[in-house]
Amino acid sequence: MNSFSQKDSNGQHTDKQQNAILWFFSWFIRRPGMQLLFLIIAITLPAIIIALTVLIPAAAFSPMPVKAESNDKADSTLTKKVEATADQHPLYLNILNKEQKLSFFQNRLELARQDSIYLVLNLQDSVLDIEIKGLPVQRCKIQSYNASSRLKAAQHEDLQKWLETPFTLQGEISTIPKVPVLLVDAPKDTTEAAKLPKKPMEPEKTAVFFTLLFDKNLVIEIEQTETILPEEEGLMLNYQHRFDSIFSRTLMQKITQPMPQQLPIHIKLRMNEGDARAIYRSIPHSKYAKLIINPLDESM
Amino acid sequence: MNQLRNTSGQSESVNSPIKKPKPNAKRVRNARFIILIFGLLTSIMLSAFVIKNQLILQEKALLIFHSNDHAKSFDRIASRSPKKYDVSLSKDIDNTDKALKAFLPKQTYIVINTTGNNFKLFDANGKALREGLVSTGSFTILKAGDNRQWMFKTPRGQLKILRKTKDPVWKRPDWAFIEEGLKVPSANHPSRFEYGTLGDYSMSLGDGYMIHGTLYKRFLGLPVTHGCIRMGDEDLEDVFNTLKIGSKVYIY
Repeated sequence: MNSFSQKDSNGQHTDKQQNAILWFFSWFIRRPGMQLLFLIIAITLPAIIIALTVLIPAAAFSPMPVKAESNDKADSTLTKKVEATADQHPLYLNILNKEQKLSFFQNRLELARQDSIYLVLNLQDSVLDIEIKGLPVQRCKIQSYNASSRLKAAQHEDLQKWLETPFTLQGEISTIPKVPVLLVDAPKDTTEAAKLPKKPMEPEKTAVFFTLLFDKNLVIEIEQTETILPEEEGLMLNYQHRFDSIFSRTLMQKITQPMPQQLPIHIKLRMNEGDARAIYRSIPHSKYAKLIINPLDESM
Repeated sequence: MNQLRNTSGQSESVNSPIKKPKPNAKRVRNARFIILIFGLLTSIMLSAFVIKNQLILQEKALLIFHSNDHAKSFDRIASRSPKKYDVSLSKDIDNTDKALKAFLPKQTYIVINTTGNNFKLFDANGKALREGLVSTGSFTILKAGDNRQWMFKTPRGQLKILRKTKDPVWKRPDWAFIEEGLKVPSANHPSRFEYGTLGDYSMSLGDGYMIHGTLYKRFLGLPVTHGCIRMGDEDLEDVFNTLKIGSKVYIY
């Protein structure tokens, strides 16, 4: 080992050291056994970790937190189980899309009957609508989005079950306040009233990043497409810290419970700042805020 | 044994039949040790990477093991009469769509955005007729000394035009006096009635909230009101003439 760490008075590597390094690599290249040993040492532990905390749990995991009732019971009552033939697939896909559409419409109808403002996320058209009584009052164009692969991996039956009822807001984190409240104490007399600032608040410019935590493990993250100002980095760090805490789990949890069923289903949407702000400000507090999703077409 | 040193400092036997230089045992031992250390370090780093990105890897792994092959759904559909089911689904969709459309306004309506402080006026077919700026609630909480407080916010949801008034007179509520440091007069005291403050027209939405004009046109587009919706003169006139009593007002 000394030969690898020797330095001359100026702190430079000596020729001897360079020779030793070259010797080491030429020696290593000439020994397949050593290379194999190195690979085994380097890969065994990560491979075991991947197998135990990623692959095996993923194989056993149900992509949706809810599961549709099995048809097996119903099938067992049939004298002969009917199976779909390939030529019927286009019709069946069409039926699945119609089921999806019907469920989406039924959800909208249910929320239209209520007085609250609600959100309609339409992934097919890449829009997030703010709706009141069935009327989309603002259509927010989604510039881009990332949806959890669980939506793709899920069976139609399970996905339908998950989307069957509107999602209810459970919590939220945001870079902007829900209500920009200003507290004013009533002046005692006209002189004190005259001293009160008369200039209204300027339109808000704060960066809009927020996360809505719904029931059924749905997490919707919305962020503005506009770049943030350097002075807002502190605000963003604080938000990011709170956001990370949604998904953070201890090392022990990651190993002992690699994929708990309550893992969030994350959908990230990017849109312009005005739309994002309008969405966050318009939705009611917590359990009164509802969301419905129209997922991608079944044939996509 | 007689030994010679070669140029790289390695020792070799003089009597060796092959003259190739051989690494000494210490060097080989060191090299093996280095491989072990590097191997372990690489292993730890890779493991840390896997743990850190566990969620991302799991999401990707899900697509390996699970796919929406529709088999279960197809079998379910096949077990009933698919064509009839298809027709009944279309019928259900149409009915639900009709029920949804029944909620939509049948006459002209207005949509007010309290975040952007703007409005859009639509005809019965949903065609935009006019848009412009408004002022809505300031979200100010006024605290009076006698444990009373008011929050100046514009109500949200679906409201209706309940009454339309030309040359409206504003009956000032208590807070209008309190916020100016004035003594609150009796309910019908003449000082409560103000002419011209609300502009040429007003449309009542109930609970004291109105769409009306303003003297403070420079504040249009900003949240400055006590909950009412203020408009510029031309916008107000057009909105007043277009909306009828019962017209829907959507505020979000």
